[in-house]
Amino acid sequence: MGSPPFFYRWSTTFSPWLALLAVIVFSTGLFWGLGFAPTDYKQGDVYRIIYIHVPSAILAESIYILMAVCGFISMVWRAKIAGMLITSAAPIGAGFTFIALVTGSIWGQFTWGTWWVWDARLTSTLILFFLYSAIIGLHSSIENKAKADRAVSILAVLGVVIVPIIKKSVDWWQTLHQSSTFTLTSSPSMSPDMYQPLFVCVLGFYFLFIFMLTNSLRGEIIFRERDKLWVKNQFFEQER
Amino acid sequence: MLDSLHVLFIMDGSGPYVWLCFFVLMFVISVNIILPIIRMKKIYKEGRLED
Repeated sequence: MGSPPFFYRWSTTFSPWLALLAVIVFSTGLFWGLGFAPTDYKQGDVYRIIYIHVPSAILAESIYILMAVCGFISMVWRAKIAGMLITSAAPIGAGFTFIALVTGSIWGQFTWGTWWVWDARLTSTLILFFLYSAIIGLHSSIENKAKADRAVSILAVLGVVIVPIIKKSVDWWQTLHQSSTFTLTSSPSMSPDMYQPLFVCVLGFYFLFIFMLTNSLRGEIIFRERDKLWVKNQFFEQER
Repeated sequence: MLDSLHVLFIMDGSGPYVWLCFFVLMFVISVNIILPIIRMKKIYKEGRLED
């Protein structure tokens, strides 16, 4: 699995099925949440932003944790694919962090009456977005890809400290942002009619992320190994 | 049918906020799916030219 040619061959078969699964679960969750979940008695229909905002925020943090794990693997075992995975996951993570920030801002304008406050949760999420941007920028600024992988691995591992800060920010500081919707230790504070579609949305977003990561990683593998014989035999012959 | 679609789009005045979020989501997802495909096509074209 750690070998780029093996991953490429395996993902060629696996990718279309993953895309199908992602589209089905993602659309079901959004359709259910935006169209059929009951209206909130306090916020009205604007609360439906939760079906986009919460899964994006969960993914923004999860993707960074994945990158930190890959960074550690890349530093310790020098696994080539771990470096490629960080490079491929960073733009996706930045995208989901951007969605979490923008949708949170739109929701905040409706409920708090302001687009932005320098609140602990919002500020720490903005720092996460800057970390993703720094990883993308650092990798593209170093010509030698092995060195670039090492540099972004260090940044990914060091930067992971932001994830528990984001998670705990609502408990450690006085914030406008509400406490976590999902926790591992207690049952959700929402009605089942509302959190069931949210759970499906989170699952759909994860499947979509795995598909996007596979798609992007395939491109990264082909780009880095384009002079290798297996790429010439497989990629160029297959695409013909 | 049209009435329920109207209700879904307007959402009692919250529609513009919710649908704006939806379009931001779809835009970012599309960019993240399309860019790697364009990159693969570019590598393929360059590889063909080299041959």
